[in-house]
Amino acid sequence: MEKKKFNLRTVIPLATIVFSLVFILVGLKDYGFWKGQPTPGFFPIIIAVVLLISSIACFFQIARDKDSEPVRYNRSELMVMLGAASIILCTFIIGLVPSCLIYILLWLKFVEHASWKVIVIIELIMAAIILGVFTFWLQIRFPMGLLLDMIL
Amino acid sequence: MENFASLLAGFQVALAPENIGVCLLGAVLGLVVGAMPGIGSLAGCALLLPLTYKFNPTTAIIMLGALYYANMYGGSFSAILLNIPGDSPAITTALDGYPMARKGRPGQALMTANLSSFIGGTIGILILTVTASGLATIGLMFGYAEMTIILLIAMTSISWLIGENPIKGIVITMLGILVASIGMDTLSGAPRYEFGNMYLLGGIPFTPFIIGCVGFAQVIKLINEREADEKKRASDDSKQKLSIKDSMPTGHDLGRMLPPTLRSGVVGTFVGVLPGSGATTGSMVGYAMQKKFKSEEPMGTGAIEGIAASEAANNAAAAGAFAPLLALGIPGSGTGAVLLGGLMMWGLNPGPLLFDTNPDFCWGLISSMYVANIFTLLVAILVIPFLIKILSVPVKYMIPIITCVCIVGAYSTSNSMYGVIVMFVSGIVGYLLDKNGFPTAPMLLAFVLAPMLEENMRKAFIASRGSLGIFADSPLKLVLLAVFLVLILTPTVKAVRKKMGGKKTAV
Repeated sequence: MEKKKFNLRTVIPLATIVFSLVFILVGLKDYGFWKGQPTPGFFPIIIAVVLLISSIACFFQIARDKDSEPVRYNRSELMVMLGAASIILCTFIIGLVPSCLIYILLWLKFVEHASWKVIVIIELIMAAIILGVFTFWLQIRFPMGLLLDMIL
Repeated sequence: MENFASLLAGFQVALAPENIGVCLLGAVLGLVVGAMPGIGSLAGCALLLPLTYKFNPTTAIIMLGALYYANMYGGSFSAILLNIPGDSPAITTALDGYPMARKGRPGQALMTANLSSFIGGTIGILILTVTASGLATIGLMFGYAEMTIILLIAMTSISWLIGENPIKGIVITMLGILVASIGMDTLSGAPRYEFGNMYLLGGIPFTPFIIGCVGFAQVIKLINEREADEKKRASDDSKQKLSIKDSMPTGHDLGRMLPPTLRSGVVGTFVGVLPGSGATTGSMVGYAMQKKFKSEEPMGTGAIEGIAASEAANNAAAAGAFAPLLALGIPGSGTGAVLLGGLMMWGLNPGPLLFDTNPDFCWGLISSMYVANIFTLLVAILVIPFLIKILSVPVKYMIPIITCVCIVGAYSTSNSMYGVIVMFVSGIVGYLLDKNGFPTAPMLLAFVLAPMLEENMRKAFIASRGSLGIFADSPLKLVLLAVFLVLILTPTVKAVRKKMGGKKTAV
């Protein structure tokens, strides 16, 4: 007997069904709907109900659609996400600016196999933008991270 | 006449040295961002929003307005030279621009695009000058109930105009509204859906959310375009030399260009005014309309008329979209939503009263669009010899650069890693939604308009003591309701008819 494959496209409507149910339940329990006039829960509950109904309709629409191509995710997309996540994590240790510059270097060298000349040019441009525009002009104090905080 | 007097006063604001400087900067950045394939005006405005925090609201919006506007020019560069539209409004430009470039006339194709953009944009700004304050006067007649229905119309129209699937459009719009309702109640200020988290109490910050949804999500998608980009660049077509002198169109070219430019300029402006349509719809309508008229060469084979119609319409639509944004506080597109969000952050409340309360701002912005149009044309012409160099920046190098700009920008607007985390999460959500065929622009629009919709709806219910009759007790409200119902029902009826038609064919 042929096993039915799970349609990955139904994940989004399933997630929005859960999301809407949370908003309806929390809204009814904590914020109410109507007490002589609309309460804080009034508007989000109405919207969550519409979201619930449309998500259920969307779920069945996608589940019945046999013609659409399956969604394909690839490793390089995941690498971009992991790259950004690693900058966020490294920020807590070595600070935001060094994390960004190290990420650019590693990405260009090991993922794109760029030449050192290109890497140096891009690093200089990015350092100028981050330090010149954000740090000096907009006066943003970027997080230094545990290591730099200890040293400085 | 009164409008033109206000416009002259507006020029005093627009021609202040600081505003001229940012206008020029916006024009240059817009051209570069527009020319780079894969970024687009929406992501461009979102990524550059943090840079405007240093300015006063008028200067900030002048810069973003110029950037948005110049983006329409820039999108045509890569469409003509590489057959890769820099932004979606330039898709129709590529249909004739690239074949014309292959016929050995890339310079004339670029010049046609620039001149049509300028003329189309000028028509759009002129119509905006005449109509914007009138639209605001009409807006003053709207009460809470009317505004509620108008906001619903705006949200509904963008969701089904952008996406092919109206149900997905509704899902994404509702999702945007719910995300916006996290934090504090708009009327009482009471905490709401913060789940005991002190960061969520302040709500989802606008700029990091937008940067994530459009900027970071775009970077994740961009990685799949690396190979195609490399192949395009390897072709000889993109290695030609250009000069301003050789790019000048002949008198005959100008004669062919002018009629479609004027027609599309007018039509594009009115398309831009409609909520949800924006520059992409404008260029498509302009191009489709040109097909009904006679062209010297067949459309799609390098006809000057095709480039002119598409470019004039998208620039006119970009200008027209400012009318509902300023006069009613309703953005016409995703980029409009970013501009509206920016206005709100700077403490301005776009809507019918804005022309009365902040005339300097409104007329300064409109006047600056004339200035930006001239600057952009000049820069767009002067940049022609360097275009090949600008366009030679490969997509693969832009990925780590834009990732870092997203992170640094998100941090700088929130002064906290919470902003960076919001950007990261919303970027992944935006990417997943896009991958599954859910358009993100309606979510951004809903996110920005949700507080206004909730406030008007709740006040209408308070005024009517809970009666739904308040939404249908005048002819104006009935007309607005009818428009809203038509917008909701049209896609449903279309879908049912399509299904029935399919069944009949099967029988």
